Amino acid sequence: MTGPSRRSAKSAIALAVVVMSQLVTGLACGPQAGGGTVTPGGGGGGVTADPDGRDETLDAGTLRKRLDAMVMQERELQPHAATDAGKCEDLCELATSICGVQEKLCDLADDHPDDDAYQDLCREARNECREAQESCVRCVERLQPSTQPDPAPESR
Amino acid sequence: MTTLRRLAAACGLAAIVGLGAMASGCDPDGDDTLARQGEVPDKRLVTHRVVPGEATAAGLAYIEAIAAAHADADAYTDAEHRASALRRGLAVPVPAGMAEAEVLQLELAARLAETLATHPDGVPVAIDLLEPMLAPERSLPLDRASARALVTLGDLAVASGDDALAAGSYFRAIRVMSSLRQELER
Repeated sequence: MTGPSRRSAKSAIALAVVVMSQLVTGLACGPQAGGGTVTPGGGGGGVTADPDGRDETLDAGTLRKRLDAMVMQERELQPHAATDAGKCEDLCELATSICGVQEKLCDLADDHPDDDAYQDLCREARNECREAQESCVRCVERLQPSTQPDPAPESR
Repeated sequence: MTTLRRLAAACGLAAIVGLGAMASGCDPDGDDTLARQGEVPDKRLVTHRVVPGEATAAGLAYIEAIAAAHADADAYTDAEHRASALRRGLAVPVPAGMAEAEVLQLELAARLAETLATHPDGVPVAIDLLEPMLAPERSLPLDRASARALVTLGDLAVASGDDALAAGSYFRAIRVMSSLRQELER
């Protein structure tokens, strides 16, 4: 799943979890339990509730199952984001270390300007440094859309 | 008198040569540092993955002993005592089949080498400690500990004027880190 779609999925699941938990709580604490707000029209306690405040099409058991499934789904998505951030941190730390050692190696190569062995090592080390930096940047770029807040909706 | 002086001078020279010979005898490779000047850096690298073994009581005791050695070393401000604490850690026998011990030993050795090198006389001793552990023909664990130890060896080699060893060690450290990077990207 790409960053933006994962972000959207997480937001949707988080919203759904909140809504579903309110529904389940609302049913469990229905008019019989003394909770909820029952309007004169009899529509309190649920979206499609009957006059008693009880949902005929979605019972509490079904809702709870759905809630549990969504909570599980949300939990599965969250560690991915955390793992990705940790992975980028590791990649960028490695890039810093590789480039730091590359500088030391190339300083040595500068002392042996006519020695091909030193010059080759320095060249290879520079390539490793560049590749490591690129992989760090790639990782952070992949991560950014999912960590940035959603842009504000355009006003019409 | 002259004869006596000549005899004394001859004895002195013999003593110096003898000491030199004894010193060479202690170091089978002779003067490594001088021999390596002008050598080509050795960039060979063989690595292996560290596969954690089963958790055992002996393994746990080993890890605790190593952690205690590091903690002891942290507690000392002077290099001599710190080095002694780290040496004690290195002397702890490794439980059979404990693959992770290799990494712990490299960490300890790198720290000990860095501690020894705080004294100029300690640089060759530190090189003697690390070099065999990181020999190019030896497979190293694919871990940051190997990279750290190789960088330490490179720094020590620079301090001792052994550019070939330094360049080879730095390059091998870079390759270990690149392999780790590639593993992460998979």
